[in-house]
Amino acid sequence: MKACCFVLCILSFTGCDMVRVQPWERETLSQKKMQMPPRVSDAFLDEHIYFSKEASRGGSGGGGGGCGCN
Amino acid sequence: MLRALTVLLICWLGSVHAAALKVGDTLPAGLLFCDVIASSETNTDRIDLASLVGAPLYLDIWASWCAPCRQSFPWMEQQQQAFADKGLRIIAISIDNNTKEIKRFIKKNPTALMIAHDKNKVLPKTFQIPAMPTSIFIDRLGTVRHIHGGFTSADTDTLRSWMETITQ
Repeated sequence: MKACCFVLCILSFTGCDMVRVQPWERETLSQKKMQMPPRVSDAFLDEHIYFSKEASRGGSGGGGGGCGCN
Repeated sequence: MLRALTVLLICWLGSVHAAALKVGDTLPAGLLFCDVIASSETNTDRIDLASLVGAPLYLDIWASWCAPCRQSFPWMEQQQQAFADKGLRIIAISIDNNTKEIKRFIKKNPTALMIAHDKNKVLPKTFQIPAMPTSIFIDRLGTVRHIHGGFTSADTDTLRSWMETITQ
């Protein structure tokens, strides 16, 4: 019984890596309210100030939209 | 206890792999239905995709929230006209949750393409689509010949060559 429970626990851990959002399930994720910065124009301005002052940019976000096509 | 664990294990294994249609399979009858939102070809509200077998089909699975999907529409309209004499039927099947979104999109971007709605998302699950949009090429015999994920200007040559293949 203990061995059976152990095997089931291990299997449940492997199940976690199969949970991924499918391309057709991204409607909610693609909504504007789901983006990381709450106001895009503010984030753009902040990024511009950061770039002007630090003379470096990048590393502040990831590429790709919600379509799974990039 | 052991019985409960066995049931759990069977449920888990069952959820891992769902049946999917792949390249080489034939479009099954009575399984893939879509609501027709806009069409100049048919007056029915609901259509079985298998009933269209006989003509080469280009199924475009899209959504109004997907930018590359929206970009593909003008190109698809061009192809509809280019392949009209070869009988190619292009059907844009939306998987939006809400029909209102599709109607809003059509109002903003009038199109001559046949627009359908798969509100239960049966098609994307059945074909296990790799991206949005996905193009599915089905020949005159109803055989799935190719499934293409995504749409960029770099994809158009490939998509056109598959259109030529299924219309031969």
